[in-house]
Amino acid sequence: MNLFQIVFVPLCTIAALNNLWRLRRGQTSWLAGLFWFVVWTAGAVAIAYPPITSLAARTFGITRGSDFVLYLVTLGLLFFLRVFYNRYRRLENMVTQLAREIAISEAVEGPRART
Amino acid sequence: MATSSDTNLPQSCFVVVPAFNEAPRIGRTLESLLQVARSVVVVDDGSADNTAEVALQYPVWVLRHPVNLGQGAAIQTGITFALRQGAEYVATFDADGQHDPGDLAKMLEQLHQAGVDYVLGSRFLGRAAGIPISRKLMLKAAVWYTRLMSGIRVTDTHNGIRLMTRRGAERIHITMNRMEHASEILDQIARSGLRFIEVPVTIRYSEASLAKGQKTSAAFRMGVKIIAERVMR
Repeated sequence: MNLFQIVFVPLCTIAALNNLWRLRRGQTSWLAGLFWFVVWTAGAVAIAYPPITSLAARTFGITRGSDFVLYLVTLGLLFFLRVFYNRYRRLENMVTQLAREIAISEAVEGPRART
Repeated sequence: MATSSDTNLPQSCFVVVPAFNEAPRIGRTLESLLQVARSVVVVDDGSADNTAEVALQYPVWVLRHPVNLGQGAAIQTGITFALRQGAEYVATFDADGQHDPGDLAKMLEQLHQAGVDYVLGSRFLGRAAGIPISRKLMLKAAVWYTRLMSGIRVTDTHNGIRLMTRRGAERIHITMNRMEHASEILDQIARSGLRFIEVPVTIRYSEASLAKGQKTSAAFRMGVKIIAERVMR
């Protein structure tokens, strides 16, 4: 085992187990708990036994396991970036709309304003 | 103070003035604006100074955002308010005094003559007194950028003086709160299928307006936000 594996295999395992613990205590939803358990476990396995990523990659027609992991991570990040951008914009629009309605409902006329 | 005899714009023409920390300048701007306009809506965008209090000394409507949202949000608030008040025409006009109120009357005349729904002011068809070369280059780059992104051919993309009919104003829904709104408006004009013209206007740059204006870094951020909005939505 190299230094990277010595450090990160236990870390990923602890993260996976911690996730199970949170799931058991009802601190996370079943979907989120399952998702993160699979992610951390897959990370631990892939770091402990790197050839398994190449095995998985070849089933998708990709030669190198590291390329396969890179594609998955990139696609995942892009997906979440888009999800969170849209959520942020919706929230921003809601705050703006709220501020707008407050401003309009509290509109004040200066002296001799005519409409 | 304006009287009905020296006003050039009808009462149904609402002039929206977005203002953020403009207390030292808003009074002078409103004084000159009220020489031609009868219905003025100042939208104080969460100013930290007494912009709203100064504006309230004049015969205008004053609306206050509880927090600072950005010029785009302030303009949309003003447009929404004007439409609810029954406006037939809506104009936008910057609070820092860089525009000539006399241009608004000319714009209304040209709106009628050309039979269009939007009249956009262009400093490059008119006069941009005291414009620094860096600002000029930045604005020219914005023209090409807008042409590329929106497909709309204009000579000035970030000019705060505009006039639109009620029908035109109803098609404008600004969602980009900050300075990107200028590009968003052009985008929506292009998509509205309604006609527009550009007319020459005068912009007078002062130290204050230049200090509050867009820096090159802000323009870059604005470009990135516009791309993000198109790619991520």
